[in-house]
Amino acid sequence: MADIDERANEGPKPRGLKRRDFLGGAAVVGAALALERHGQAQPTPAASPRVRATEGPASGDTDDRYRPVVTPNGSSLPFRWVDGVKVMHLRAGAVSHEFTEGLRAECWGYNGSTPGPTIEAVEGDRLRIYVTNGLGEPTTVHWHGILLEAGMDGVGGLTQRPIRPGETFRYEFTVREPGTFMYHPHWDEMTQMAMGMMGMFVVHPRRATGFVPDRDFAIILSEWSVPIGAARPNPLEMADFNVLTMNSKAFPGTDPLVAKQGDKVRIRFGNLSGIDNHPIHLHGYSFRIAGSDGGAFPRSAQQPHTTVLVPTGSTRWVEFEANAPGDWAMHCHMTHHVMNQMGHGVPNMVGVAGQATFDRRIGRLVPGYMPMGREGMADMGEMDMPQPPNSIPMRGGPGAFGNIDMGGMFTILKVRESLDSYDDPGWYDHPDGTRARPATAAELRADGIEV
Amino acid sequence: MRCEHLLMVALFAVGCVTPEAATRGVGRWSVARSGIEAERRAPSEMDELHPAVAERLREPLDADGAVSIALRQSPELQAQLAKVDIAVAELWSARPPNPEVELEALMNDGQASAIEMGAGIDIGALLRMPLRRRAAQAQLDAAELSAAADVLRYAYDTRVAFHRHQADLQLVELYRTAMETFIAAWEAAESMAEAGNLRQLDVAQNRAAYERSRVDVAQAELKALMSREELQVLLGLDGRQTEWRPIEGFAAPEADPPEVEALERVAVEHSLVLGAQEQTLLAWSRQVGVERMRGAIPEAHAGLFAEREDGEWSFGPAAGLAIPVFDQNQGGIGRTRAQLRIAQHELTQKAIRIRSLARRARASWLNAAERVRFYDETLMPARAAVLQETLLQYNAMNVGVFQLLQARRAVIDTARERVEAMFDLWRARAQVELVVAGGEPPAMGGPDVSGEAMGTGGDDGGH
Repeated sequence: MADIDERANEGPKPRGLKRRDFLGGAAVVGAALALERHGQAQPTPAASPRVRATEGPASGDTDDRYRPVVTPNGSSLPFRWVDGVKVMHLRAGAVSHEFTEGLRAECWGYNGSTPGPTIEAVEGDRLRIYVTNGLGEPTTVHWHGILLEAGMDGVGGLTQRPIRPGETFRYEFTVREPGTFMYHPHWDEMTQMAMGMMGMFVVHPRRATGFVPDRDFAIILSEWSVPIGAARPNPLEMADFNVLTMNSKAFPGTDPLVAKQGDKVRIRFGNLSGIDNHPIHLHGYSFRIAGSDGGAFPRSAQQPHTTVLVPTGSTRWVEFEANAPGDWAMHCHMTHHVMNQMGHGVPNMVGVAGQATFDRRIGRLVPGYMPMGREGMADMGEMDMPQPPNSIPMRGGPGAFGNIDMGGMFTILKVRESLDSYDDPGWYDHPDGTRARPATAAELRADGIEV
Repeated sequence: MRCEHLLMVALFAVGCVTPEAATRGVGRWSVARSGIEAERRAPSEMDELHPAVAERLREPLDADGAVSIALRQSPELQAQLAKVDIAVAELWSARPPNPEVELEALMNDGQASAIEMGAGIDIGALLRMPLRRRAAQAQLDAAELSAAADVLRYAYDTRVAFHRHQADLQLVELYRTAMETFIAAWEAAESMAEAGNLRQLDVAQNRAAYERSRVDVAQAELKALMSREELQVLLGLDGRQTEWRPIEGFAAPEADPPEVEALERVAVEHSLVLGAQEQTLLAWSRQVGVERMRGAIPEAHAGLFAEREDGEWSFGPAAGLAIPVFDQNQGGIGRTRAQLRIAQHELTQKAIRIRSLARRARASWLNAAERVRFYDETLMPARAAVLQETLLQYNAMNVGVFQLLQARRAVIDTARERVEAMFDLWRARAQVELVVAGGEPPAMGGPDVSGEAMGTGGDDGGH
């Protein structure tokens, strides 16, 4: 859109290192390669990640052939052109990650974040991606959905040996097809993905035709097990996940998706959850599911939907025109996926008398005890009770009309008639007569409603 | 006349050692070593409360008060003290032999035609009497020391029984609190079941757990009742004086035990048991002298003889002496010497045991004190932290009321363990105090080795 600063279209500003940091990383690459070339001993693997990848993304060259995607709460991976090859550098390492205010954990990621920066390229680009392993264990990177030579597929033991701690590997391939893809480890992936190692991989078409988005969002879905009060994801968990995220953020930590009325909007979803598929539902809109990591769906095969099921290990992208102003919820429709750190082994207290005899008895036995969950659980996020440190149990976030009692995979699409920038515009100002409100007695009487 | 005079002197000497005097001796021992004093009372007095006891019973009882009552009111202790009287009686038996008188008459037509009279005394026994008396005196000293040791041990038993009862009362309260957690869990399960949230199986399981906890409470109450009755017996209080109540609280003592070398030295120096054994050794040593004299002079009699014949009396001395040609009482001497050797070995063994008991008591004190400190400074705070964290997890809806109550029970369980550690501490401290006072505590974890009363026997081989 011409009336909006182009830079705002590039998503959040890069934080942290500058160009020289990128080059510094390249120097490390060279040293590591030299070691390998001479067959010398590799650095001893450490028990825990050796490189604390807290640096932000480095800046690099720009590419004006496409409108960059917006990765809410994230960024895109910087690059440099070297002899016509787009060169990038991923550094795997530990990340101190905040899911939302009140919950921080020791995670793993790339270039200082989880998910790692979104890789962007154009159909037909030759990419050279260096991967430095700052973990305490080997790793690889698999380019999920990218059609490439088998030796570049990144499957440890199958197509390459794992990248040892401290080592840097070079991947080089040409991206042949446009679409929405992902990248993630293919070595101890149960652990490494559960710790946050994943990212989106967007290949723009060389010639944009048809639907050309004004706002192109990339969101990767994932699920975590962070025991309440703990500070490290538990990769051993197979089923009972309690932190569900969009770009590794749980609501209210998720940045809103901002669009101007009339914008063409594309939202790309990837899902690298441990076991769960996620039906992502967008309020207020009917969209077309335009493609998957297998490629774009023929326009004739696209159907209108309000919910897109994103299977784990897959991507989907949806397209629509932002023609309905407002604040629109977008969330996974699995109800337990929009809760923050809820315990699933507790007895159901709904319907139990509010101040039962046992409440008084327990109150005497355990000072500080309070009855909870008798009429429902929505008020849990607002009860002023001491909570375990570093936890967000049942917590929602502030909204225009009080607490939004949701968490996890929940974010907001904010569409406005006019915008000066794509920064968060605040809460929607509903036109008179367009917002639900308490019914008056006169209205009830007039419509013959008895309550 | 000379013999008669000697006899009177001997009788006077024996009469100086009265039961009352012996009892006072016991009392002084106790005062010197432990600060407590037993009081001999006649059986007829025991039916009434001692005034000091009545005074004590008006206030909540502490351990010192319990000991004070027992030493005045316990018939069992009085019976133990009365055993000294037996040793005193042995002194009475070490008196001169009675003289013997003989009368013979020849009758003719209803008239005594001839009369013979004789009077004599066992000179041998008379000669052995001083030696026997010295042996009996040593035996009496041993009995007095044993009685003093019994008093200390009785005071120790009473003190330990008091602390046991204190501990049992605390355990009752803790079991009742635990039962409260089970009641709450059952009530919660019922409420949830009424709301349709829980199965009857869960309700039944929670009810069963509650019912089981009632048994625990009943058993704890019975234990407290039993320990109270045990203490009641030691105190010597009958059914009219059962309304006493112990003081509340069960705080840890602040003092530390003496160093081990000093404790061993004091234990041996003060030991009444060793003192009694030394007196027993002395008694056997003196008994050997008695037996030797019996071997040298087996039988010797002396007296007067009178005869009346044809109306005329004639008098003359009489004497008899057994010549120890074949029997010099080797058997008696040998038996007594063997007893002497036994007593010598027993003395050594008892010294070893006293030292060991002192070390054990001290080690028990240190161990129990460390455990109590560990419970107070580490484990109880750790359990409390678990409960607090569980409450936070409950607030976070990550655990339910059942887990919350379970965490509360863990605190109670630990508190019960602490009560036992506290009892161990007080018991070990009482043991050390007993050792320092000269008594002998029971060997923890083994048979009771204390309170061996010295046997008392007669003159001839009664040891």
